[in-house]
Amino acid sequence: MSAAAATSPGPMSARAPLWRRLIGFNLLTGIALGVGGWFLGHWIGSEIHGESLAYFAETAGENDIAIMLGYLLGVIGFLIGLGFAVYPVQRLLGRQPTLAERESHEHGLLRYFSLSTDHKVVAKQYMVGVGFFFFIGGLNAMAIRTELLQPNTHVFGANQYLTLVGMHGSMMMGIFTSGVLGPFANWLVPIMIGSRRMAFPRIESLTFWLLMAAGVVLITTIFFGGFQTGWTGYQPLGDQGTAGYDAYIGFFALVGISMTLLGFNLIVTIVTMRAPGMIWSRLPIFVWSVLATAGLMVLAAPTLIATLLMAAMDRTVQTAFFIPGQGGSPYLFQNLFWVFGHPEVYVLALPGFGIVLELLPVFTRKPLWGYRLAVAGMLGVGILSFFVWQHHLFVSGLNADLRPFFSLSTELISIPTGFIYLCALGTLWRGRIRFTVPMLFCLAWAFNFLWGGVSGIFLSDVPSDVTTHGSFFVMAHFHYTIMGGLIFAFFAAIYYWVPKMYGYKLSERLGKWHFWIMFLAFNSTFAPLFALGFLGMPRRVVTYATNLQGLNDWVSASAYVLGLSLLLFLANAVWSLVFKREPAARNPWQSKSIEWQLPTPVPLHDFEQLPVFDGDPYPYGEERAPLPAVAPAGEGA
Amino acid sequence: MSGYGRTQDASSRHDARNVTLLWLLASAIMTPIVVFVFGPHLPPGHGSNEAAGQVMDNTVLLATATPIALGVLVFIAYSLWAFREREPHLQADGAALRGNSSVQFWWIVATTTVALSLSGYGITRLLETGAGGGQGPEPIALPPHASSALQVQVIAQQWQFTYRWPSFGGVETREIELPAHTLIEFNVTSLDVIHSFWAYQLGVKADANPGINNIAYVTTRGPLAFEVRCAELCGVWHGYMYNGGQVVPRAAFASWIARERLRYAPATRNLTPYSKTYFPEPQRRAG
Amino acid sequence: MEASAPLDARFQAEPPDWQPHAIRLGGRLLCGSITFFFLAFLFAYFYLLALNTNGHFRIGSTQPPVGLGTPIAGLMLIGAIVYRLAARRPFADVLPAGIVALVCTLAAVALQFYEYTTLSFGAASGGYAAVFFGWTACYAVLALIGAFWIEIQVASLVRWRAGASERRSRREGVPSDDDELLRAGIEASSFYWAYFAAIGAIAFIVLYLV
Repeated sequence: MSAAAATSPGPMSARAPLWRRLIGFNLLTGIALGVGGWFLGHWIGSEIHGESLAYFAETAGENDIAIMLGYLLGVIGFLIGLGFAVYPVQRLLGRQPTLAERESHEHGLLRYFSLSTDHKVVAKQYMVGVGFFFFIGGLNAMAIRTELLQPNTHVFGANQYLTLVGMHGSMMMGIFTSGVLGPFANWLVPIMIGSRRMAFPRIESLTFWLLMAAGVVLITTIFFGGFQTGWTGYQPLGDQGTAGYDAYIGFFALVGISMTLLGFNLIVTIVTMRAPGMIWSRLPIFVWSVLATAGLMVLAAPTLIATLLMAAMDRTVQTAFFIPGQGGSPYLFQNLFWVFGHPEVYVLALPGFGIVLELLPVFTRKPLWGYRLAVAGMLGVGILSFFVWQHHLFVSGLNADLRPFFSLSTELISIPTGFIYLCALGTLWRGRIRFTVPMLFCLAWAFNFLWGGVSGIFLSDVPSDVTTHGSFFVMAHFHYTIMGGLIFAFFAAIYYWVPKMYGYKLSERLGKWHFWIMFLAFNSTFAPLFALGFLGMPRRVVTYATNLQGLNDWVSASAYVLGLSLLLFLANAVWSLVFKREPAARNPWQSKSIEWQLPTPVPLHDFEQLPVFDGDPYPYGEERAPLPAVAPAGEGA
Repeated sequence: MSGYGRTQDASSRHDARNVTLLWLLASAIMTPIVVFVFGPHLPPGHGSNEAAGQVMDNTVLLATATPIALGVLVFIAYSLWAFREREPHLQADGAALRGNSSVQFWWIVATTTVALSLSGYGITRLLETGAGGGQGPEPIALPPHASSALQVQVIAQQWQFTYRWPSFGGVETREIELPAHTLIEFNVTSLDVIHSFWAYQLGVKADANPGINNIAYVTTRGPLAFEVRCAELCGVWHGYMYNGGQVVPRAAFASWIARERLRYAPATRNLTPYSKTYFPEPQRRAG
Repeated sequence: MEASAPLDARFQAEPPDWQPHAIRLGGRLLCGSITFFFLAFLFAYFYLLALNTNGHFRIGSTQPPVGLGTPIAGLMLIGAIVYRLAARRPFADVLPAGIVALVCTLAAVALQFYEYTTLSFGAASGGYAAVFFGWTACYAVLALIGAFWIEIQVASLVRWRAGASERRSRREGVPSDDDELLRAGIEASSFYWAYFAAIGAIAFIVLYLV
């Protein structure tokens, strides 16, 4: 059944040959113009820089202005090549706003390589794009663990190693912040609230392509000497660094813009485009978590962009934001970075909460327990996340008199997090639990995030933090919360929604193998890191005390198994979605949520008639509970 | 066996009782084990007053966390066993429970109480002597007799720690020895980028920031060897930025520092005068 | 509004008030984002001032000319106020107001770049100089980007005016969906612009007067 049932050209209309269809605004053109833009920007930068600041070009052997301008014009060229300039130019000439000319264009596979205004297409683009960079980040992690097999025999050069560490962290923190919102919020939110689209579909597509450009920019760091600061980019180390740090700046600035626009679009959509009857107290909990996350993105990411611009200015025009000898301060960077950085990690945690609470009712066959409390938890975590950032700086000497406040606020954020747990536990109580693959991943979330959260309590206690700050204990804490939490929830979401999004089943057997190997290997990899931190091993080191080698080797071996489990997932995905292609039932989980009442695959315009919502979002456990009234678009093509 | 044979309320009370009993049992077993078996071995050991204080904090945190974590785990494990779907062919739904204000209320009370207590405890401990952490140039958690502490300046640079002794002529040494049973005031600073002075066995960690003086207090106990590592990524050789130190009897320390003064006397004459912060030129800037 | 590809008659159109509402809300959200962006610079100013590391918050004389700063901030304010006051009025009155806003913005940006060439200090002259250049440069670039949004409203108004007589013959007194969209665009952009100009005024006070 064609997904473009409503408006596709008839089967006999002449399809132009492939090479003809490749001419136009698409990824190919984008890459061509992007490369062109790079060379143009680089040349302009060399001309400016060469004349007035030749001294630095000679001594440092690199030209940061040229590189930054190269990235800037390269990205602009990339976006123009994809077609993002067409609509703005038309609006600048006074044309009416419309989406008409985009949606009726390409069908088939080429949709995924261009600007698409179909939220379902953008979601799938995100799925693959984010997955690709997650894979690269994972390879970096394997390399890191290989290096750490032995304290004094080195596989990589010291600079290479630090670049690997930085790339791993940046890929994960930068790209994966859109890891749930990108694929799943874009796909589900319009359907769950009864709209057919996001408020600004072109911006939706822009956020995806900006993120892809960002990932490519980050990878180019290896051509410029890499960067030595890790994903936190601390100054003044970054100022001192090789030109690869410019790639880091470019990467994170693009990520920041993408995040801001993504959050912006989601908030506007959720607030203004709810169908009749979709009052706030009926909103699915996943949408609430998306709303809270979007709020964080929209406010925190601009601060990051400003901070990175300051770092860029320090490196190019020799300002002194962060150079103490010249009137600046390294504390300024730390403060500004973490004002962004802490909400950032909640951008990673909240969608995980939302997914788990959304799926538990389906697999316990009960309503979500404590819906209002769960909403309060989401919003509470979101708001509090802006008030805890200095817990990253307890031993930095910065604002020592504020440490009691930040210790308290950090401790307090465990309370709304506890609400989420209570609602999860309450949903399990007296349910009829089905141990499907998505459910297994949800349960693993509950287990893993528990250890992540408890270790957070230790870190929020300043005396305890004196020993554990900057050590592997912190690494264990955030891997348990982010990987053990979000990534496991992400896989729950994949196994749950892929049958609806793609129309094909994922192998349940391979899924269970994937789950068990991943769960056991994950805990085997990261639990010992708590011990390593307690035993005095700092972060981001290329060597360590020889008595810690045994533990490190155990961790590395487990990490390889963890990597294998993810390859197993990849094999499952490719086998099931590309080769086997066994059609999925319309509602294999017997979910009562609206997206499962639509046919598979979901038609281009989602609904024929806009749905009217008049029941609880989780009408389980009740006789004849009303399902949302929905007439899907183009059914029975 | 719980489940489908009884009335719903009786089942629920039965299950609730089971969970509670299991939880109490598990907590009663695990908490003492955690406190008494693991507690004394918690980091960073008892090498200094501050380190011992941190061990105490960690023990309290662990003792509090154990029943909480066990509560969640026992509840989940019990639920997965008791409420698993045993008759999938029925395609039946579970109980339509949407919430329980009493449970929610007491949960909020309990979690808030725990959070505030732990926080209060940690802050109180912090404000005693600073718990070995860096407090910036104007520390507020001063140990008694702080003004007569032995001042040691820790100078961090890429990629080595050196130590300067203002009360011994401003001599700069590459090794560090400290007198036992003495209050030490570390003044940590950096010459280039952000580092972090982490003396593990002493329970001391203070970031070394360029242009800032970061003060941390520690009261040493008996003689021991301690390890100093850099705990903040500072560039390519960050992992190799470490050295060993010793806490020695006071007499031994006095003779050591006297020997070092003699040895480095020519260098000390040419050193920049002792100061809380330094701004060396040229600054290595990007191009 | 044709918010999506031409729909079959059997498709229920989305409520026409959705998109105008979205645009108005979008304008407010942008204000939130831009606040957090410039807060970073405001924070940097006071923080570096308080720390005065190495005594180098100001290296040498770093006082920018108030004679140039005043017209820069003033032009932005005038343009924004004129535009915002006209936002509720009939379209025919909004058009000249929009043009005024555009001209004021371009003049302000031009003056800003002129000011850079006349300054007695450079970007490397300490903490204050860093904040000064960073804040004003980012503000100027964002002003140019914002000017595009205003230009879109102006161009749409010009096109509206061109089709005015045809519209009057069709429906009297009932704003069409497209008119609602245009009104929403004007309302949102003028709100954002007033907010943006206010940030400029704050920048002026902090950087020139404090």
